[in-house]
Amino acid sequence: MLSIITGVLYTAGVYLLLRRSLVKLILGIIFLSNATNLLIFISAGMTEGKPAFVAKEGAEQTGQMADPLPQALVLTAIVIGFGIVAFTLALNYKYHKQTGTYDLDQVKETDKV
Amino acid sequence: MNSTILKMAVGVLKPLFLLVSLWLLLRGHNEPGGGFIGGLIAGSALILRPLAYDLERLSEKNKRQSRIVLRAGMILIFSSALLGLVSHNTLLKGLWLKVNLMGTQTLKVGTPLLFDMGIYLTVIGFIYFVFISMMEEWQWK
Amino acid sequence: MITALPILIPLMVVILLLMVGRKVYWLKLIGISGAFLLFLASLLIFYTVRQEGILVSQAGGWPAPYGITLVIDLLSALMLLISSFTAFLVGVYALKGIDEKRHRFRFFLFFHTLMMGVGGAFIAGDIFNMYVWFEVMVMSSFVLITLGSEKQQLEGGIKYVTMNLMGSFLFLAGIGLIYGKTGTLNLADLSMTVRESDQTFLMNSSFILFFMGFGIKAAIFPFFFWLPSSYHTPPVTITALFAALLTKVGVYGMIRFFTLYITDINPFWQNLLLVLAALTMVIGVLTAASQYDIRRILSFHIISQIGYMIMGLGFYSAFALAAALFFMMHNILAKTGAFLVGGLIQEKTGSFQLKSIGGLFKEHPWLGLFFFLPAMALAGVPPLSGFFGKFFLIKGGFEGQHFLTTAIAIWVSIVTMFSMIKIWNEAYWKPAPKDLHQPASHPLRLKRTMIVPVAVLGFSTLLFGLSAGWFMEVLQEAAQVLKQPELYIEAVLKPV
Repeated sequence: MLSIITGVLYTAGVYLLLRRSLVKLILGIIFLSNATNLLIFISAGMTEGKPAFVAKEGAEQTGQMADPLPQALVLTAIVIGFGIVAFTLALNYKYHKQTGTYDLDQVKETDKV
Repeated sequence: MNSTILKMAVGVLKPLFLLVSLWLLLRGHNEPGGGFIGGLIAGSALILRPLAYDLERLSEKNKRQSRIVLRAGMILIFSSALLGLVSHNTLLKGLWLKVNLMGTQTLKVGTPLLFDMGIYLTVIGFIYFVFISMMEEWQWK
Repeated sequence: MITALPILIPLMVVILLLMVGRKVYWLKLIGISGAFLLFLASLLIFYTVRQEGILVSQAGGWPAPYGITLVIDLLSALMLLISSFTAFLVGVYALKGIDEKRHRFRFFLFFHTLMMGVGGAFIAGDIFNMYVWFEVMVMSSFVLITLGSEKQQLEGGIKYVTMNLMGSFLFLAGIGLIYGKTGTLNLADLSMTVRESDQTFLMNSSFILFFMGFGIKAAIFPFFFWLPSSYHTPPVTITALFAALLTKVGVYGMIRFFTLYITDINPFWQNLLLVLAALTMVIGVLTAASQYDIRRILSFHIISQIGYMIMGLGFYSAFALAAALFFMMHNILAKTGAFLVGGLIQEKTGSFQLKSIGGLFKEHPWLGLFFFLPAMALAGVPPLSGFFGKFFLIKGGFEGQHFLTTAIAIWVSIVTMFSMIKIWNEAYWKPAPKDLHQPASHPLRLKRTMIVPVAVLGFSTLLFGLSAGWFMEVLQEAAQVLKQPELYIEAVLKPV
């Protein structure tokens, strides 16, 4: 189930990246970042319904708890992704204020010879 | 924003949010919680009042305060990393100090708590700062 | 203790810079002294690594495969040394080369977060940590490239940000897959697991993701488009800093990665690297030949020179690796120097366009000299550093019997010469065009803080070339560690 969601997110993300609108580009980036986070979870293996903590009384076997490392990785990746999204939104805002357009086809000034 | 419900609720919600955030901060090391989530909750508690009432009272002074909180947080993070480096030659090494509470229980205080508190303060300062800046830019009055 | 310095010093400087608010004088003072301190620390680290071998530090005191490890081997130490040296000089140049407004918006703060990311990427001992430092670096470069928010900068910023984010996501996806397959993220531990594993197919799938991730950051052939369309937009000081550090960190990641995992020559990877290297070189240099903006010419040359480094990695002998490292270090110095001279020319004449400037040699012979040194070093004229870099690479190619790639490299080097001579002719020898940009309208004297770093960079390429023998010895030691990952693995995984 999660794999399907990841696939859909990747597809949607790439599709949005290829659109002409700057806003859709940012949405695409958000989708891709979340798809990657899910991918880490899936590939690292999920343990359903168990927390990533060792119980206090200590007698639990391994296999009874979820792997804490992917959780830590995803947490870090989420925070980084959050920062990136904040930055791209600010960039978008500034760009719109300067040029009054969201059209990515206008963004070709810097490639002129 | 002008919402009577929010205005009424602020008085109750703000102390509640702050208490919950402190509780999350303190239980953070071995249980779910920690500086980041605590800081987020405390930050949102702080912006409730300016969100509910108008912004006349928000000024340069608040901005300066938020910057001070942010800097204090960063210094705490830095020093918690440095303490381990100085004493045990390893970065971010957890150091624990056992404090005796009136002979009945021992309280363990360590650099991870210092680190968490640093993050707590940084997040609060950051949220407050960003909030004020955005308010200024859009003039939501 | 000193292992963590490349991260701690910039962090400390960043906090101090936050303290002083927007007082430009203090921002500059703290920023530049922090950069100098970082350079001193790198010298100390280099010396210690030469004396004692690989430095390892376990963050938090957790032992190696479980905790975060910081590792400095000779390669990391050299990279730290050369990058902090260049960054310090760029910092000195930036005192006057960046305008007051950008200083007030804390140019130096982002400069130091960038240095923190670069230093962290060089010393990180596990992939995820490396990813985080890459992100720190990339985030600060996002801010630097758009600092000042001019229209050009924002446009370049959009392209730069999008492509680099794609690179980060691919890299992260590769990390996720490899963790799922091996259950470890520590570089040394991973290297051991991968070499014992028989699932080459699965491993290659995540390596190709890493390759693309690093490839986008290093601007190799199919992924280079972001570089020439964004590097010429910010002020030239920032471009010089990027040219010195960002792509080279990508190449460093690639070298670190591929030497740890692919120990014996694997024909698939070798062919891939060599073909892409050749394409990168050719396309970079050909597109550069058609440009008339100094910054754009130099930007395209970054790409072609990345090709040389990847080629050295593709040859995969100890000698060729050392040559690639030599070339990388030469390139950091010479490229930064060339960009800064471009900045001086712009400062003098008000334009980067070759068509609207000229006659500079008559007016400022010394400016000509400072450009001549790095430009000829890039083209590969003896006894400057570029000659030795290319010579060693080509020698490594002939020894490994990769004649075609080597021939392409030689040809590319001739075209590079053409581009450099074009700048020289247009900017220095051609009489100044009469209609545009009268020198009288720009009577301003160049500041000493701008000239000195350029001069130092120019002469350091000369010195680097003259002391090529000694550097090559050190680099061969470094390459030896790369060719025998056992040393690295042993140093990291040994109990504390």
